Parts: sequence; C-alpha cells; structure tokens
Amino acid sequence: MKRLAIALLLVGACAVAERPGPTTPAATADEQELARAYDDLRRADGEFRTVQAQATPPDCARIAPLRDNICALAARICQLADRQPPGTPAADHCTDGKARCQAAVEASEARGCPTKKVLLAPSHSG
Amino acid sequence: MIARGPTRWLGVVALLGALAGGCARARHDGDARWIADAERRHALADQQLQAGNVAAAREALLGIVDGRTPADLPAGDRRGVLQDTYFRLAELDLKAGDPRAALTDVQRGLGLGGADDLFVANLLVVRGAAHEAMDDGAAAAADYHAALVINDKLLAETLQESRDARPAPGATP
Repeated sequence: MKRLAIALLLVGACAVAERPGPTTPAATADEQELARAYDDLRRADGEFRTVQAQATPPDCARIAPLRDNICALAARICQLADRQPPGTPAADHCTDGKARCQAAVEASEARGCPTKKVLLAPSHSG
Repeated sequence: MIARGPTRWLGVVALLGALAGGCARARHDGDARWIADAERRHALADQQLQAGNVAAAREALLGIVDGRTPADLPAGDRRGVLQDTYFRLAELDLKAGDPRAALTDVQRGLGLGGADDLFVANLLVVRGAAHEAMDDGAAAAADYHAALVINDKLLAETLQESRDARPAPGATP
C-alpha cells in the first residue's frame, strides 16, 4: 500500500518537476500545494528507503529458524558425543550434524539472511 | 539440557503451521470448532504457565488429547494438533522432573504417525531431552540427530520453494 502511495506521489512529482527557482515570483496557492506534496513525497521516499534497508528477505523468516535449529542440535549432539566412547554412532551424528549446520549457514548467507553466530562445541569426534 | 526455549518455539511454529494449513482448506464446522478449541486450550495453558499453575496448564492440554476429534477431520490436521499437544505435555513432564512420563507422552505422539515435519521433529527433540535426563547420551544424540535431519529436509524444501518462486534471470516481472 505504501509502495502504491509512493508510486502515485512519484507520478505526481513528475508532473511538477520544475521547482520554483530563487528568482521565481511568489508562489500561488496551487504552487504551494504542489510544494507541500513534493515535500511529502521526499519524506515518504526517505521512510520507504529506511524500511527497505531494514527489511529482511521474506524467505529468511523460514530459513533462519531451520538453520538455527540444525546448528543448535548439531552443537548439542557434539557435546554428547564427546562424552561417549570413541567409535560410537554419536560421533558420526556429530560429524554429520556439523556438516549440515555449515551447509545451512552457507545457504542462508547466500539468500542474504541475517547471520546468527553459531558456536559449535569443540569436539574430538569431528 | 537442550533448548527448552527452542523446543517451545518449535511448538508454537508447528501449531501455527497446522492451523494455517488448515485454513487453506474448506472445513466442516466441527473441524473448525475442534481446532479453535485446541488453540484456545493452548492459549489457556500458556496463561496458566505464566501464572505458575502447571497443573492447570496440563489440564488444559489434556482436554485436547483426551477429547473426541471430529470423525471427518483430515488425518494430517488431527495428527499435527495432537502431536503438538503431546510435545507440550512431554515438556511439562520434563520440567516436573519426570522423564519417564515425558517418554510416554512422546510415544503417544509418535504413535499417531510419522512424517518429516516439525511436529515429529519436536517430539524427537523432547524425547532426546528425556533420554539426557536419564543419562542416556547415546539415545539422546540419536534422537537429536533424527530431528536435525528433519529440519535439514525442511530447509532444503524451503530453499527449493524460494528458488522456484524467483523469476528466471531476464524474465519480465
């Protein structure tokens, strides 16, 4: 909706592109109205740019939590694996989990999703 | 103990997913009422937990799993709502220091059917936590890994969907 409003304002602004210069005689009521509309446009455009800069790509709302789950689980598995005897399946789960976490982080970065520092527990098993 | 926060978060996401999925289909009145009642009971459980009344929260959740479900409710919806409820009950068991009861709730939930979705992943995570509480690290790691694999499949699906949804390079919007 806001984009539409801005687009409409931009169209309007094109029609009033010639701003009064310093030597221009006093503005008429219509010109003052147009000037106000132009100021509104500038303000709305600034707000739009701010919101756009802060916006997260929509996929990230789904991608980031899954990535975080994967990495949190991998970290926990590796902590458990460290307490297991060598050669148990937990060590393999740790190695696999770390790899999947790394891949998930890379995939989410490729999508421009906000990164969350994930610290995998140091592990002797992978 | 792993991620009490994350597991709770997963539950919320999972239930919302089930309800959103349900809304996409035409529903019989009975189905909609049952799902709305389940949602109300989950909200009530949240309130009771905030007030520190775990017994009342459990009571609210038990009303979902003990009640009758509409006969023509789509099986996936029924499974999702009930599995999410068993997940929360198992969490309460764990918080109460009763991992065996948590395992029982998880088994009831998983007994409703398997799928590569967050409902099953949640149950696996809480079962892993129960195993941890019983000092069975190997079983916990196996459950956590199974949950991780499901999350990874869901991530792959999400990435694929977003690729499919993007316009081809050079395509006009």
